[in-house]
Amino acid sequence: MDWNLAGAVILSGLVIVFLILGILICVVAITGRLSGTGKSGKAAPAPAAVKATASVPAAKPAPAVQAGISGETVAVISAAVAALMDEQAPGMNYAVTGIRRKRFSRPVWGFAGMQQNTRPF
Amino acid sequence: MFQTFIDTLADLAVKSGIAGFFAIDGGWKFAVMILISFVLMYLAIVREFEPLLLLPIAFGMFLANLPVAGLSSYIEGGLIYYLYQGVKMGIYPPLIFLGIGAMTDFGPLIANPKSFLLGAAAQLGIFLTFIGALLLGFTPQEAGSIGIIGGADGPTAIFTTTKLAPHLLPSVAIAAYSYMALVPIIQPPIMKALTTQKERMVVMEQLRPVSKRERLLFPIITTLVVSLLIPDAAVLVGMLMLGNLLKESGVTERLSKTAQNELMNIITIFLGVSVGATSSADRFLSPQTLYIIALGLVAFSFGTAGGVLLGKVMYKLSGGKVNPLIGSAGVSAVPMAARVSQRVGAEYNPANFLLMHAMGPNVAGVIGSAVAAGVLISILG
Repeated sequence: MDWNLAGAVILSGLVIVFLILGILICVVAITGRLSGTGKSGKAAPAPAAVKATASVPAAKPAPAVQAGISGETVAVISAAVAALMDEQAPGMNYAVTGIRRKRFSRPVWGFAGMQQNTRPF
Repeated sequence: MFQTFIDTLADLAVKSGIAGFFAIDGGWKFAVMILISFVLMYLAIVREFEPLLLLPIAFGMFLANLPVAGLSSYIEGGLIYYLYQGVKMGIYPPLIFLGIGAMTDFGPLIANPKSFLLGAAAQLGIFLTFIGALLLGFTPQEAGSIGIIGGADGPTAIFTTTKLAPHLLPSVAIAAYSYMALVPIIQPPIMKALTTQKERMVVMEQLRPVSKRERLLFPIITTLVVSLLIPDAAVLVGMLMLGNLLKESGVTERLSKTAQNELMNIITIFLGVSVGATSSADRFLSPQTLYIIALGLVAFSFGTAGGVLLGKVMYKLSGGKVNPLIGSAGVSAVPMAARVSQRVGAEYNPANFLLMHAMGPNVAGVIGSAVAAGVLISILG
């Protein structure tokens, strides 16, 4: 058995695997910090209680809801908007100011189905 | 007329597969291989051990050992011979990686990049088994192919073996997939033997959220770093990351779905059947196969131990914030190894939820085993 070859394979194999994954750790950590979501070296100072209280935004006025739309529908629409905004513009301030029925000649579910079927083209 | 009829029947009987069992030299070996294929089919169908791959492999083995049928991957001209060219030329494993990339969420790894270390430590089994195989008289190329079983990554094992020791492909592929299927049985005793109850009960902090920008940059940066440093690993890591970018970009939903489903399933069938059909009796039934299966278990066990031991080091260095059980998930078998970490952790603290923490080392193990394969190919190839 060639012990030199065996030693070379083991040493270089383990060192290279650790080295490359070590480089990836650094790069991923740097990317995280640059994008503002990674942990910084120092823990962020805890905000003062008074300031935190002061920084709480005032409650937004309730949305103007057209007659005939139930509170449950308002909650569902607000939750859907929140999920969409969280996905597409995280951290952005927004408010649901009104909910009213849209006048539309095509049934809304039919329109949604057509959109889904034609999206790939 | 009657004589012709009798002659035709006699001729058919002589040329039949049944006669092949008795007339061909070593014909009994076909019967043994068919029985082995039945055992693998049982494990796949009844015990549900990696059925998506084990079943096509088992049926490929069954087909290849039907005497006279000529369905082995090595017999030129037939369907399975042509399907096998995708294995031989190293086409299928990177395509499987494309599908895996499209299915994998690298978020836990991005949120906790230190998990990369656990993925690296779990490659220990590959290199220790390399020595064991050399001691048993295998050539360095064969030893490299056997050692890669410890990466617990079927496509990587197949890819490496086709480059280094193609004649060992059936034994290595079957050992690799069998041990991946047996992760829930092999790993827990090693994990429990190497950790204390206090360590197993550690509850880890919740992972931070990962931004879309990080998710988009990760596959590009990883491909760049790995491919520039280890070009032999570029095809595996590149396809893995392409699949992930298709998923994370959000603009190629159709391609991502195809990579995850249709393409992955088609390649899995081709790969499984043609790899199974390489295990014809004359090539598979040898003491060498038994050695490979035993060494594969050693590789797998050392890989698990390597991850857990580094997990213990991280537990000490972090002041008890890292649960060492997540280290065992560094062997890549995704997501089975991470589920095992979760299950063993929950045995000692039912409120503990280690799954997402274990997914970090688990997907790091996929990258780590591809890098280890690249190193072996570049040194021994």
